[in-house]
Amino acid sequence: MTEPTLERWLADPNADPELRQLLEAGRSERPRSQALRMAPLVISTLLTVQAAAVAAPLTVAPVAATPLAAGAARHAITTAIFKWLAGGVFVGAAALSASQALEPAQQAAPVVVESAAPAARQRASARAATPKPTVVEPVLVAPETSAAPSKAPAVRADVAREVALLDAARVALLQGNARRALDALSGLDRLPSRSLAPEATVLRVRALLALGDVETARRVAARFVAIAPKSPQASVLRALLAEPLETKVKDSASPDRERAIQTEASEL
Amino acid sequence: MSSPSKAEVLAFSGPGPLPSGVERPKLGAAEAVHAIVEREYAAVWRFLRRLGVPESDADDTAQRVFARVLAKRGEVRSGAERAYLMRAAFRAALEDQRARQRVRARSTSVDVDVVHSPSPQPDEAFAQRQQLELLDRAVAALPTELRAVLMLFEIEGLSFTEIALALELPRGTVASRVRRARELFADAVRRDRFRSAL
Repeated sequence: MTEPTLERWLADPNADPELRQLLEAGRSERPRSQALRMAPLVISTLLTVQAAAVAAPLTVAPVAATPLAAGAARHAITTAIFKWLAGGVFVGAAALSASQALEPAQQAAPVVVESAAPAARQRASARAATPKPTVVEPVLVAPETSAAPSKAPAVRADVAREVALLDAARVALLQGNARRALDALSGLDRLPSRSLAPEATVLRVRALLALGDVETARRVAARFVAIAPKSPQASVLRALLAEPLETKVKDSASPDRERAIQTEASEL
Repeated sequence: MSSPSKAEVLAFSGPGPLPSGVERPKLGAAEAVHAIVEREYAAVWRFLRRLGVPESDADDTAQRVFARVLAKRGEVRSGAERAYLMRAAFRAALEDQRARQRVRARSTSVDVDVVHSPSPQPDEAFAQRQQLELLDRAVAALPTELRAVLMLFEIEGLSFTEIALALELPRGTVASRVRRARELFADAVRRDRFRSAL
């Protein structure tokens, strides 16, 4: 072993009480507890979104029939997801798996792609005029090759709308308006398909807790935890409610459990 | 209490048919990510902070660092996760530094201090905050490469071998940089002490 020798050779600042105190202050600094708690979820979400983008790149949709429009749509969705992720309080999504993100939509109505394309095209052309140095790695980078399901753009449009609603709920919560957060979450019910139900559940529980409705919050959280006890969201829910949640779901059949999560928003 | 089966948990994560080429996430992958993040997040965050990433950006940057490294988990040797994370963190901090320099270059306003001093938080001990500010002032006097070595060695307790892996340096270079960084750090603290005594 040479390292102990080297350490002896070096003048150890820890021998000086003042230097040691400074270094100890550095060692004891920690991120804020909320950021620390949410980090695993946010990072899982980033990983999932990356994996989904690689596995199923955006294809050219009828509404986005040119490469420029396709890029614009991709940018719009990326921006929406990033805005949501970068907002401060995160409700990440390990359970948002690649399979969920890519699940074929029941209705191929790429509303967001349509509405976002012109504005995004302007942004894309602005970017082309003044190339901006990349600081943040793009999350949704679609490789040129590999085939994707034809409905992927529609699914992504749904995801983008879902993210927008979750973002609205998150911002409302940050502003202390839990009622508005619940209103935004109820908008999720109108979406034809949902990929971010776990995130919605965490936000809903937080909103309910903010309103003082601990009983409903506990019920919603217990139902989720029963289905996915090892998910990151379950950890968050446990932390939010500050005690272990017991499984309280009476029906144990898998399809019912899925349905329960998908429809839990409508029950509140 | 009957816990949901593995199949149920997997089904929950996406009941629909999978497009070709997409695999269902393996059970345990999320837990593994969770464990690494829980174990290493604070260290990466601290490292970024000492490299000058403002507190307001440190969490976003740390999250991106983890996403970059964990996305290539297959390429990361088991047991070397921390070194790889620190490598990505170092690169991210350099990117951040360059970006802020560009902003400063474009800006006509007063130069921004490299060391970010977050507003005092009521829940933080005043003395601790003072110590951290002094630490930041002292390490700001070091070139980034030496600062990184010092922080990894003294604050995060990485071995020379790990630092060599993280910063892509020969071990001998790491050792000499640690020595140099320690000297400069001690000098910087002495200077600060002298200035505050005036």
